[in-house]
Amino acid sequence: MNAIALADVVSTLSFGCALGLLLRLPGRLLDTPTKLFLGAALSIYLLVGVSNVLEHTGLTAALDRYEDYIEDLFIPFFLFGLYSLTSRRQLDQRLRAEEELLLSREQYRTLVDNIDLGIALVDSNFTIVMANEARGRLFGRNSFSFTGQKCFRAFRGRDTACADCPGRVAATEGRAIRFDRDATLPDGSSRSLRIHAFPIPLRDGKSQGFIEVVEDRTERVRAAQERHQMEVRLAQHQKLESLAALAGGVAHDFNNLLMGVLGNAEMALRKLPQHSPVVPYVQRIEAAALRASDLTRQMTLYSGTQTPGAEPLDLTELVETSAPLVEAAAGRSVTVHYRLAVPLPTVRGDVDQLRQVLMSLVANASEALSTSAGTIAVATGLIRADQAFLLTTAAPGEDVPEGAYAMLEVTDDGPGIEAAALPRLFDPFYSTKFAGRGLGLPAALGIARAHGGTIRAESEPGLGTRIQVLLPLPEGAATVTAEVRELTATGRARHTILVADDEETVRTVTRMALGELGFEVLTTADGAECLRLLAQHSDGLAAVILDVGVPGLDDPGTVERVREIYPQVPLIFASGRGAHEGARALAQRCAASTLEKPYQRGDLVAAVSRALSLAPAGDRPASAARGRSAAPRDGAD
Amino acid sequence: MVQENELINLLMGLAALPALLLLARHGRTPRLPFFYAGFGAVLAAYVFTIIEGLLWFDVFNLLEHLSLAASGLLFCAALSRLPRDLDGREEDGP
Repeated sequence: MNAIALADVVSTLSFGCALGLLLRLPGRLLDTPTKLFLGAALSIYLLVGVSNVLEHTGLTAALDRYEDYIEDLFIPFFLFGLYSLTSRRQLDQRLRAEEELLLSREQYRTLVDNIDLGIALVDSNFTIVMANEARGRLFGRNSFSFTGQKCFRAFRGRDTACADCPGRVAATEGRAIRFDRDATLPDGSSRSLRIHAFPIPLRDGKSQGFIEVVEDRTERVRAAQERHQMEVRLAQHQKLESLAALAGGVAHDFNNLLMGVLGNAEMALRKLPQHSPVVPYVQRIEAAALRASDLTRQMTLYSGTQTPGAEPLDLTELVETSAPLVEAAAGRSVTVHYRLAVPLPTVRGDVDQLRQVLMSLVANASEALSTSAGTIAVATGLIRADQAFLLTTAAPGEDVPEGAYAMLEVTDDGPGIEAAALPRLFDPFYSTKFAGRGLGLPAALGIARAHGGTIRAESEPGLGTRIQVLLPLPEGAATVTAEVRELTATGRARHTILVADDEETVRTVTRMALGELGFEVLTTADGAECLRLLAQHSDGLAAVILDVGVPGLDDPGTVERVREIYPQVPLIFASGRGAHEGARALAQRCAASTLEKPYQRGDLVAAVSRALSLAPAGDRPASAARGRSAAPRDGAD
Repeated sequence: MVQENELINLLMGLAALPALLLLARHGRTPRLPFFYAGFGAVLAAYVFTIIEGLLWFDVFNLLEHLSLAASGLLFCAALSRLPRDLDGREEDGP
């Protein structure tokens, strides 16, 4: 076999193989026309090869004459096949590209529309190219309605570009910008937005616009604020607990020490001769110890560990019976307005402690009005407290359940309290007043807590302060009041009390107790001095507490003449056990009250309250212009 | 002696060649190098067919047959690579 024959054999086999390969190719790669044309082209040289091989082997040369004719068809068939392949491929590719583009667009919209961020693509002329659904939801519109609009008009309702446009800054400076802004949306809601702006750079480095991503952080900001408030309340509660525990512990131990001091001072006074030069020093020791004892009493009240009495009482009645004290403690230039709910369900509590709460609140309000005339409003009623309301009390986190409460409220229209100072209002020894001890309100809080209630204060600088005491109602108590009784006391209250007693300890204790009620207290141990003070202050005196044994005024006739000279001044005759019957008889003749020594703080307050109530009409402190009106009230506040 | 159909084949082939090269260069046709090489071998066979009629018959006749054998092998190679070439073209994109 020569080389040509060998080449023909190779040619025949290779074209046959190529034809076989062609026919085995799957239809997705080559379609039928392509296979037909290319197959015909390859078959031509397969036949030529077969013809040559047959010729070389000497079998036949008959096919040789057809070679020239069929060879002419190779190029057309080949070119048609190639053309068919090319056009089919291009069509497939175009269709596939379109499918991919469609898929890509769907994926892009799915991605962009399912992100909870308001996205807008804006060109360099502030024209919105696209916006996603979240952006549309944010503005209550269809996202496609933004397309073609100016961003400043669509998003902010302006006619010109915004001065603080983050997109402009981002596009100009070529960097991402982020800033936070509070915005009012078209639906009127106020939202906290965080805006990110990203430049869209061109290849030449210039910007062709920006992408604006708006993150609605309202809920997150609100949650953060709530969390912060909760932490503050928790810290406040923990502080209250620890301070109360500390105060209670210190008061208990300190009281034991004071018992020793007072007991020994009393023993020393008994043993010492009446005119011993040491007596005044021991009396001062006793007076100082009594003052310290009063402090510990207040601290004990603040700790909330003192179990209060549990007699049924009506807060409205408490206020009404304490009205003279309230008006006297309020001050001369203060109008006291009452808004009392009747009938008010009774609560269980200690009347003396709750009267102290009332007087502490009134004294506090009065001090707030010390530099100007104003109004103190005292109100009682029912209030329905939910969890959110209870969290705003002075003891948040306390185990005070939701529900209806009897409420005692004292409001003043004074200068108010700065927001920063409000949380410390009930801290012991915290006082914004120069001379204040800062124990009145903490003790009030302690009393309220010991009664199972709480206190809530709110204040607005320049508008005044309102303090509410909430006391729990007994189970089954009515939660509706029928009416509101409104009273206004516009008279000039007298708030000075003269105390005449020859015992310094009694004077000290009485001065402290009355001082806490808001009274100014004048003291004297001498009858002549008492008469001089009476003459000097008779117009402004709310009451005189007179020890019937005070030197110079120990004669009933003198006392009766005093009553004749000063008929408008309420008198309280204090007397020891031995002389009390005589004092009572004298009191009847002089239209005065009596107070048996030794008296407790509650006895003193009750006696003063009674004396003020008995003052002659028109001269009783602050009661002359009292009027009444009734207004229906439906349900709890 | 040069036959008429051989000359026509050559002219058709030569006319198609630049068009094919141009289209291939611009990416309008699939990138199938063995395919075009096979076609080139067929064209070479046409050239040798014409030359064998003018001089050195034996040599150019042998070259003609060898070219056809080569074109067959190249088409074989092209078609065996065709799935990969076409898939590669899809990955490259238009």
